[in-house]
Amino acid sequence: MSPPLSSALRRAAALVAGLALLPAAGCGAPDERNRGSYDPRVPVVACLRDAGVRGSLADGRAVVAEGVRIEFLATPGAAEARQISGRAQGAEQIGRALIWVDRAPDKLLDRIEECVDR
Amino acid sequence: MSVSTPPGQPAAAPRSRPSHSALRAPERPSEVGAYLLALIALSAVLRTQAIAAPLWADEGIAHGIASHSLGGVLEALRQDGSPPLYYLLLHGWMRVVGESEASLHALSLVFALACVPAALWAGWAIFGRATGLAAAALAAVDPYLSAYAQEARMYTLLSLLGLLAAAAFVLAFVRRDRRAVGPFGAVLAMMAYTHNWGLVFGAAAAVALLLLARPAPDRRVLLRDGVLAFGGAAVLYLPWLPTLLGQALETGAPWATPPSPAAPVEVVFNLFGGAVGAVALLAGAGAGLGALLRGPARRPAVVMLGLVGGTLALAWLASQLSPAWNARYFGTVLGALVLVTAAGMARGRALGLAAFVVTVALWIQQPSTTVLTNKANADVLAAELAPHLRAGDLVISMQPEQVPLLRYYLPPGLRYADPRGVVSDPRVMDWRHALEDLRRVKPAPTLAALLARVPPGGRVLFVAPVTEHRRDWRAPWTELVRRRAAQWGALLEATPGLRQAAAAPRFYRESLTVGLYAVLYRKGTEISRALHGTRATAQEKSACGAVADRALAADGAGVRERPEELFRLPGCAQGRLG
Repeated sequence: MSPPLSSALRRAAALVAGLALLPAAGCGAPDERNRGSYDPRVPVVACLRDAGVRGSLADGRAVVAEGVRIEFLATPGAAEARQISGRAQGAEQIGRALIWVDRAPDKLLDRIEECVDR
Repeated sequence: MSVSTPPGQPAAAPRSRPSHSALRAPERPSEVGAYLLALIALSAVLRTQAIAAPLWADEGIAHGIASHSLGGVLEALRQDGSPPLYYLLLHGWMRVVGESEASLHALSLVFALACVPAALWAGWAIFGRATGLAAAALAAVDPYLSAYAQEARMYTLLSLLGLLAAAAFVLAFVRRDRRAVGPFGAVLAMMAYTHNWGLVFGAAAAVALLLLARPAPDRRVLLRDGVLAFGGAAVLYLPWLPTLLGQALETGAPWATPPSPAAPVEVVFNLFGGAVGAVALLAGAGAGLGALLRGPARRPAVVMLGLVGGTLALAWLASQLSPAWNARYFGTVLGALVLVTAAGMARGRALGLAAFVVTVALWIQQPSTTVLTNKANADVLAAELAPHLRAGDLVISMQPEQVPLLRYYLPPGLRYADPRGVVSDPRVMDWRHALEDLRRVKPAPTLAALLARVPPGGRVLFVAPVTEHRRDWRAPWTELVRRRAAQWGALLEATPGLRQAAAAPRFYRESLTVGLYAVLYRKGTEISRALHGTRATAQEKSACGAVADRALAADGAGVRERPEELFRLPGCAQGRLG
């Protein structure tokens, strides 16, 4: 007769099963990529919504979140080049995004940065 | 240099196998001396490839602190949070050797080269001749030492002291050579005076001593020696203790994040030239591990590994509570690691020798000169913008810790500010309550107060970090620096009467640390303020501003008294500008 599974082994098996289910539950990195399209703004808008910030897509390249414009460029390098050439010093560069902070309060910027910097 | 034979070991070191005879190790003092000189010469060549490389922020701080008077160095360190030994040495060094990049780096080079004979002595004294020779070769080409030999920071000094401390600890408390007790205490104190993580090494050594004492037959004598060594180090460190406590209360490392579980592995990779170099080295060491752990060198090897593991573990745990982890701080354990790996290689027969050759071949190529010469770009900004700057102009650095570096490269006579306001001493980064101040100080009124002191025609240089590597901008401090830079940039753009005059760099090459970009503004005269509210395009405003500037330069007083006259100038006279 084979011995019963030890409790430690059972716990380990449960942990592995739980980890295996995580991707199915949608945990992990936000999905930016659907078949045939790529729009980095979509997960940001979803994240903002979850964070209680009203945000919407704007003019093909941007998201506007409670008055703060978040511009998405083709590559992080493009965003960087814009800033280095003195044309975006009023924006935070996070990857390909330029967040035009204007006079937005710190609390709002906290939530926006959190969503863009994922 | 005297090299004693380890107690309990034969006077002659184990003979190499016949198959190694072609690579017969030097034995006679003259041969060993020649071998050592050759290694030092090779090391000097490798470690001067980027000796004149431009400085980055931390080096700017080191230069700035060391450029104070002796008393001023100690005072400046209250704001910085570091212990004084390296800065005091650099202070004296700068007076004798100079302040160019190469001169500053040369002090670190001296410590890096000193690691070669130190490794020979330590390896030979503890593990035997073959280990000493191998350890010296590894110390001569280790990429971590090569990188920091060309950086004006304390890490090669810390590595040298760490090597000596590990060796002295083993000699004093494992080999029971009581002549090493005093030197261990002195070197430990010097480590603590060099970098605060020397204290962590000391804590790991204290734990190791207690573990050694438990089964020791001469426990009382061992503990008494321990009290002498650690007590001596504590007494030597006592004068600095009040400053350390003040620093602990007021300064911190808000730029750091807690280390990940894999961080200690990354430390080993960093010390050994990346994953490939580390794996080659450790494979070679592993080949001789069995022989090492079976032989008389077992206890020294285990204790050295314990010092490494203990230091990493204590530092990792401490950094979970108060983040201050950085892979470059672990020069503290480099020496112990080099000695143990060399001991393993020396006993690893053909595989050990092969791994040794591969490791040296890999390390000789690292780090690349391209990497070392591209740590930052403040020198480029300064070269491009210095011709536009005059004494009294204002430099606002959005990342406060870049101010000493900017001061190093920019022309003299400039005034400096950061998002917290005016910087009274631009040679020092004031880390006291820095994060709280950065959170508290409001950008708009702070900028307005700074601009009020800029005369018409004066220039304002806005310098901000390029936030290219997202992972580097996630600590509380760096996140806020990134945001404040944008807030200040937006305010400057919206300020009436400020005109963009230049931007730099023209070309940007990704910096190894933090790259900077800068925008130069010129504070305009009445006309530019008047133009701000008009329907004129940016181009028209710029053209008119340039004409007005020339008119002011040619006939200052008259036009300044009657600014309305400027609207009659060509380029400013169109109806839509009025």
